[in-house]
Order: sequence, then C-alpha cells, then structure tokens
Amino acid sequence: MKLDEAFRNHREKIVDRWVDYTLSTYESSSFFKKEKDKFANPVGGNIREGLDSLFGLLARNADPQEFVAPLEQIMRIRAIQEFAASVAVGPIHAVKHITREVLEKDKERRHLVADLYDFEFAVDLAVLAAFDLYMQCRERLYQVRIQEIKTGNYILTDSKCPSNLLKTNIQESLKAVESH
Amino acid sequence: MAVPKLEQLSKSVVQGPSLATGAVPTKDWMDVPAIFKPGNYAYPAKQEKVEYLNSQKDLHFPNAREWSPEDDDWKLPEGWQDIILKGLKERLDKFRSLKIFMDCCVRCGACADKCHFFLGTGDPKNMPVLRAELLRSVYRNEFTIGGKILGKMAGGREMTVGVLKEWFMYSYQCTECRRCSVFCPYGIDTAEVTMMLRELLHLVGVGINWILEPASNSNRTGNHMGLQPHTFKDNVDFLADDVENLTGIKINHSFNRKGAEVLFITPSADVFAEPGLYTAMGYLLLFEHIGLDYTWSTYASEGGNFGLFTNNELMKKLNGKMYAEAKRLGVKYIIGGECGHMWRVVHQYMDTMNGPADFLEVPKSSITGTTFNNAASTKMVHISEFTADLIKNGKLKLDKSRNAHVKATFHDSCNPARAMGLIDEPRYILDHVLDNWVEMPENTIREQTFCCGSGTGLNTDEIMELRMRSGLPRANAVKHVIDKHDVNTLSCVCAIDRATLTSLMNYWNPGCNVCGVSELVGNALVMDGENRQELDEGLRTLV
Amino acid sequence: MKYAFSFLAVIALILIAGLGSQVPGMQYFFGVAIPYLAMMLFVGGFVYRVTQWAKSPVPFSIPTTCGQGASLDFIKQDKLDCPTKTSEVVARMFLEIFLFRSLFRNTKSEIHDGPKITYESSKWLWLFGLLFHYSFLLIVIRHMRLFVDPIPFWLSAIESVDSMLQIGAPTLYLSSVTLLGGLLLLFGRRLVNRHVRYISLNNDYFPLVLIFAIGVTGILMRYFLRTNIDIINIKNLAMGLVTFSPVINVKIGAIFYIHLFLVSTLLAYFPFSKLMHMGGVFMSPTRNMANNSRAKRHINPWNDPAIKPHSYAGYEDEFREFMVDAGIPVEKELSATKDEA
Repeated sequence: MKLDEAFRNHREKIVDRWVDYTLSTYESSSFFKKEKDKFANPVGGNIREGLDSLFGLLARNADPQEFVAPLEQIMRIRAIQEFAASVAVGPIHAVKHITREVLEKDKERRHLVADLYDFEFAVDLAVLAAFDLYMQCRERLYQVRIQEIKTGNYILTDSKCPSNLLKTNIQESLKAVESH
Repeated sequence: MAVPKLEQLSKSVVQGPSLATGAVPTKDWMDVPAIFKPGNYAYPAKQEKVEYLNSQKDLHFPNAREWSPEDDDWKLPEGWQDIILKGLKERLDKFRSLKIFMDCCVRCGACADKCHFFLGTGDPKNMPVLRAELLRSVYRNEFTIGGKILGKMAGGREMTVGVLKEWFMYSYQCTECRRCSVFCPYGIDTAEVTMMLRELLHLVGVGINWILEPASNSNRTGNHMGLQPHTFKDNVDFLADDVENLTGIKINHSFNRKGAEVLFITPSADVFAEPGLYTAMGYLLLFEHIGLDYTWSTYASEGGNFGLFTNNELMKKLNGKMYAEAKRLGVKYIIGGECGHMWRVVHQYMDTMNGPADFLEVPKSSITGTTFNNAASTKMVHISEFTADLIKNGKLKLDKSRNAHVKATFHDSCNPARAMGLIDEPRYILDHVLDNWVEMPENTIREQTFCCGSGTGLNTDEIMELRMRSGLPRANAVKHVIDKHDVNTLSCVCAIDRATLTSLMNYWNPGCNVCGVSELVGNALVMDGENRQELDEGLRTLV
Repeated sequence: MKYAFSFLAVIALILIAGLGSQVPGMQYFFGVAIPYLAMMLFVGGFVYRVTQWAKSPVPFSIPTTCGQGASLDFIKQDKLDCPTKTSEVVARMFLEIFLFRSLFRNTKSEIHDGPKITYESSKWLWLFGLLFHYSFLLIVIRHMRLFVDPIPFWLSAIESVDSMLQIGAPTLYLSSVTLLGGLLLLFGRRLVNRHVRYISLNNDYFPLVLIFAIGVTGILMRYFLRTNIDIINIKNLAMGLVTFSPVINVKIGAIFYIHLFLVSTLLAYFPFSKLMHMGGVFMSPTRNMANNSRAKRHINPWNDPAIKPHSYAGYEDEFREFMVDAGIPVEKELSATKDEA
C-alpha cells in the first residue's frame, strides 16, 4: 500500500513531467505548456486534463475500460496532428520511465521501484488502448470525409450538374449513412 | 539507467517524418522554410478555371497552368518579383489599412494566442503577428528607409521564391476571422493582410481550386454549386415538396418573378447541401407563414461571395448580381439568408462597390410596418433581423415544444460578430423558439467567438486534418457544453459553418447536430391549416 | 542576440556624445546642430508619414465590431464597441488611446487548471504598457519647463504631484521610477515570454534600450553627476533653441550632451520606426470608423463603376431553353430568339 502513498505524493511531479514530455512534441511547446486555460489553449489544456486523470486511474489499477475516456481526450487531438502513429502514442508510454525516475530520486521510496510491475502493466494496457483509439480517430476522419461528399458539400467542385445527384442518390445515401 | 531509456524513447518517437521537432524552434523564423506535403495545402486551381476567370472582362487571373505546391518550380511568370512588388505598391496606395498595419505593429504579442490556427497547430507562423510579418518583412525591405539601408538588421528581407511559398502556405491558413483584430491595441486586422497576400499571389497565378472554381461557377451560373437555373429551381421545389410532406402545407414560392416585394438571396449551399437545406426549409415555412410577397432568383442565386477570398474586382463582379437582379425584377428591397462572409460583403462592401441602390426602397416590413433604418442605404436586411422583428411584433405563431428534441448552443460566426455586430438578434430568436439553450464559455462567443476553422474557402477535404486542428478551439468549447449541459445541437447563422461545423462535430463531438437558426424557427412554426405529422426531429424527420 | 545589438548601438551613441562633446568647439554641434537636425527629422518625418498614410484612401468601411450593432430598437446596441455615431466613435477611440482598452480586453476567466498564470500575465502587458506610456508622457510634459518662461501654474502643479513622495533632494520624481520600471518590465517580457521573444526584432529592442538610457542619463544628471550641470544654463540653451537664438557660453557637463544626443536620436529615429504607432493608432480604420455602412453609403474614391457583373442577358442567353422548360420567366421568349436567328 506504500506505493499508493508514493503515487499520491508524487502525482503532481510525475504528471507535470509527463505533460511536459508530451507537449514538447509540438513546435510551439512553450505556449502549450504555460497557458492552462482549456479554452484559450485547447491542446495543452486537454492533454493536461487527460494525462492527469489517466495517471489517477493507472495508479489505482483501475479497470482498463476506464482508460478510454481520458485517452480519447488526448488521442483525438494527436490523431490529426501530423504525427506518425508511434509518435502520437509514444508519450503515453513515457510515464513508466518518469515514474521510475521520480521514485528513484526519493530515497525513502526507492525500494518501491521493484513493486511497479502492476502499474507498468497498466501503462502497457493504456498504450494498447491508445493505439486502438488512434485508429478509431483516423477512421472517423475518413468517415467525416465521406460524409462531406454525401451531404453535398463536396459538390462545390468536380461536378457537372450536381442536382441530379440530389434527386436520386443523396437522400438514399443519407439514410444509409444515418442508419450506419 | 532510467534516464537514458526516456531519452531513447523520445528519440524513437520524436524523430521521423513528422511536424514534431521536439522543442521550441531554435532557428529564427525567417530561416525556417515552408515545406509542402500532401495534406498541408489545398489543391491549386485548375488551369481551365483560371483561364475562364482571366477571360472575363475586368478580371485579371494570369499564368494559368498545371502546377503543384510540392514542386520546386512553381512555374512563376517572368519577372514575378517585379509583379509582386508593383502590386504591393499599388495596394499600399489604395488601402490605408494596409499601410497603417504595415507600419504600426509593435510586436507586443497580444494577438499571438488569439488565432485558432495557432492554437490548433502550434506553428509559430500562425501567430497573427508573424503571418503579417511575412509580408511586413518584404514591405520593410522595399518601401521603408530603415529597411532599405539596414536590410535584415531592420527586419527586412528580399522577395524570394521561399518567401512566396510561405505566403501561400500561411495566407491559406488564415480564415480572415478578425479575432486577432479585437485584441490588437491598434486594431490591426490580419484579415486585411491575408486578403492582400492572396491578391498578390493571384497576380502570379498562385491560387487554390476550392476558391476559384466556386467563384467561376458563381460568375457563370449564378451560384458556387454551378447549379443551372432549372436545377436550382428543382432543388427548391424539392425542398418545398418535403415541407409539404412533413407539414401538409403547400409552399407558394416563385423564381425570377418581376414585381415581387422582396428578393430573397441565400447561399446556394442552403438549397443543396445537408444540413443547410433544413435551414432553407425553415425560410420557406417562415415566408409562407407570414405570406410574404417574395421571389427567389436563379441568376442571383448565391449569397456567398468567394470573390472576397480572391480579389476586389472579382468580389465586386460577383456581388453586382444582387443589385442588378433586384433592379431587373423591380423589388422593393432584399432579404439575405444566413451566411457569414456574405454578410461581411453585404454589410461592409456592397453599397460602396455596387451602390447606390436608389432603385430600391428603404426596407420596411410589410408585415409589421417596421422600417429597417440600419439598412437604409444598402437596402438589404438580414433574415435574423427580419425574423426577430416578426417575433417582437407577435406575427409568428410559435410552439417551443416542437423543438423539444433540441438542446442547443449558439455559435457566433466570425463575420456577423466582428464585421457587422449581429450578435443578439439570433439569440433573441433562439429565446423564442427554444425552451432553453446555453451559451458556450465567455471567451469563445460573441466578438471573441472562435472560427469554424474552415472559412475563406478552406473547407476542402484535402486539408481535413488541418481543418480539424484549426477547428479544435471551437469544438473544445462545444464539448464543454455537451459535457455540462447535454447539448445536442450547435446552431449558427452561417452556411459555411453549417457545412464545416458538421464535419468538425462529426470528428470531435459525434452526435452533436449543426443547424441554422431558421431551421429551428421552421420547426417551431404553427402553420394555419397544417396537417403536421409526428415530427420527432423537426424538419429533419424522415417520413 | 538581437537585444545585444541594441545595447551595443546605444553604448556607441553614448560614447560618441560623451567624447565628442568634450572636443573644444563641438558643443555647438552636439548642443545646437544635432538637436535642430533631430527636431527637423522628427517633425518633417512625422508629418511625412502621416500625410503618406492620409494619401491612401480608406476604400471600405471596415470597423472591427466588438459588440452588438445598432439594428432593431429592442436590441440593445453596444455603443462603445460597435459605434454608429461620431460621438460614439470618439468615445471608443478615447478609451483605446488613453486606456489601451483592447489590451485590457485580454481577459481569460474560465475554468483554469492550476494557477491562473495567463489571466495575470495578459493584464501585465496592459499594465506595463500603461505605466510606461503615462510615465513617458509626464516626463515630456515636465521637460516643458525648460522651454517656457515663466513656468505656467499647471506645469508646476504636475511637478509637485509627480514628486509628492518627497524622497531625497532634489526630490525624486515618481515618473522617473515608473518609466524605468515599465521599460524593464516590457524588456523582460520580451526576453522571458517565449513567443514574444520569437517575434521580436532589433526594431523592438532598440527603442526600449534607447529610452532606458535616456531615463538613466536624465536621473544621473539630476541626482548624481552634477558637475557643471546648472539648470539655469541648460534652460538658457533650451530657451535659445526654441527662440532660434541658441548660445552656449558656459561649460556644461558631458552627461547633459549624452542625454541630449540620445533624445535627439530618439526624435530622429521616431518617424522611421514602429514608434509611429503613436500616430497610427488614431488612423486605424478598424477602430476609427462607425459601423453604419448599411445605413450610410461609404464612398471609395477608386471604385471602378465599369466593373459589371456577368450580365443577366448573357446568363439568359446561355440557359434560356432550360429556363423555359422549367417554367422560369424569361425576358426573351424562345421563339423570338429563334426568329432572330
């Protein structure tokens, strides 16, 4: 149970470093790190919120199902930011190393590093879930593209006489999309 | 041993072919080139579209050709630097705004974190101040004494191909939303700068297809969609049939009818594209409800004006159809549908460019007797103003419970909010057609509203990821009210919003619908002699 | 390293004046010629710049509206942020120019995670700016005492308010302290705030360093390096300058010439730099125009009435057959056009 206490004590430090690490993958990272208003800085704000709540879940060995909500908050952003999949997911992984580092520097709790197996296993599960979410977000993005074509907004270009489509296909495909 | 592991991890994740550079840029911004790759630029305009526009009287769209931003050689015309610099000189002489904005910036940084493109991408050149510096650096080098003598020391730089490429990249990562201008101590408006950049780029044949094709369609057929007269009519008829199916009300509408009291013009997306067409059904019901004597036009069948995103001449030429048609049909005044940039043009440019509209009368609602003095000269009234007046005078029978399925919030579109001051009229309408609706956080609405991220002709699918990034600030605020108040509908008064916010919501906040305010009005209207079906989803109900 | 260049430049200026003014016969150059030249450049340059701006027309009415516009009478207009009358525009401009209202707007008040860092720091810019500009204004006004005789009552009143803390002898002026403080804060902000640092140019650091040096030399002259600094002599020179009969018949300390030279540099530099925002803020079309473009037609002098839309006739010619088929009214019936053909 001492590990619990260690997580509680170091939560802020670990999360701060984790957020820093995650945000340093952006070009203008200093802004993303400093500005904490979720509306003035949606990237930084959401990632901070997501990682913080994810850490809480990891630390108390929560049901991996619960990881999905905070991870989604993060992955939805990273999935559209020109990162390769590995880069998008990579920072989730980093909490393992950060936690070890932080604990090792704490003389009283150094011995707890040996007990990190469960925590690290939970992180691994989170990374796998993050990959799933990344893929879901990418797929959703392609759905959005298809939807745009179907709703007629794409017809602005590349069409001779778009209204023919309206009469026949659009209403059909709309139904198809909606029931999907 | 742990430290090296973390470093190793960051090496494996940060390096590689991505934007992620790992840190704050270490190089001066002037030394960071713009690199084009699939997904970060909109497709260049098709040769035949540029040729068509260039063939039109008074328009100048030279250097039509096949080219790609990814190529090293953009096939610029001979002496292109001179063309650009001469063009810049000419515009400095024509626009005081440009001169002042070039000279006055003190780089205080107040605008930096106000731009949705910067907030979503983190790219420093998307800070409004740097976007303007892209032009300002060339201006300094060529047109100021300090820049001529001191060059780079005074922040000047030569006009090179690299600079031109930067201009292309970043003037098409700006939606001319004017949010930065609200916070600037000198009111410097990046929209003006972006417009000038785009005008200059067109002088050497650099433009994007998503803007030039709708613009050329609009010139020829009257609307962006390229709908020819009969198909435009068919589309509206089709919507009228839908309304009849849903409510049992036969819609009496007409096209190109001389002697009507009012000409109604709305973005063509409303009569064609989902979900705008529900808004158009709302218009049809509203006008039927009050028995307005109005006509649609197939010739002036476009409210939007993609000319605004290219250059002054094209904007003027496309806009000219509104007055020309109003004059030909002999109407008394014009009502304009819900649209953002259309209203920028109508409110701030139309009368100046194509007025005076002395063949029209000062708009006076024949239903309520209200005179719209705020439109006394331009003679064009916004549908929200018109509707709010109807509600105030008790001319509409509204049943809020017909919108019971809607829990809405309201998105202020950039142009009505920051280039017109149309902020409370739509809210007044919402108050009367909805049981309750909620506002998004304070710094994301009204004059501080965040753009949908895809305005000014950037709503094309090849830059979908970019659009999702730039729309994040807006989507994030919507998510807040979804989580907090179970909002399921994002209402707005803009046709581009209706198209682009739909995609934005589909990605960020699935399940949140986007609608026009007039659609909600249409939902709530209690029509005389109606035979209304059980409409669980209002006008969207599939029967 | 851009800021380092500004320091070097100012040090060079100080050396030039400090050493140059000690060369016999050069007092007139530094005490008379340079100030006249600087003043000419300042006035000439300022007028030139403003007329250059004024020469370009304002083709369109493009105010940035920051509140509800005037429309229906039951919708409340935000008269300050969306003015329609000249008086409202004047009020908007007044608040903008004297209170830096747009910078003050920088509020961020929603849910914060952790300390409200940005809320404060955005107001800081407003505060630093206001501090600096008002101190500078006060100091300029205070210096008027050197150019008028007798000294008007209001000028003395301003001075006594400025020195009301009664610290030291001669008494310390508050504005001297706040000027330097404001400058340090603005400079510090440029260095510390990463994205402001990233966008800063030489042109941004140089005026800060220059004005800072002006302030420091002024304070040194008043409180510390008082050898050969006699206010009477300096006033004689100043009065001589404004009455176009300058004389220097006594020795004045080098620190005075340094101060004067730096001020001259600032004056000469002013019209050719971003400092012209002082004039520009009055002329910014997004702030100084009324939002009444639909009620009152704005005139564009270069509007080309020859630019016409693609004509209805041309449109009907292209689509007449379809229009007739679809029952859309046309100007010329099909048969008529066929007959013509």
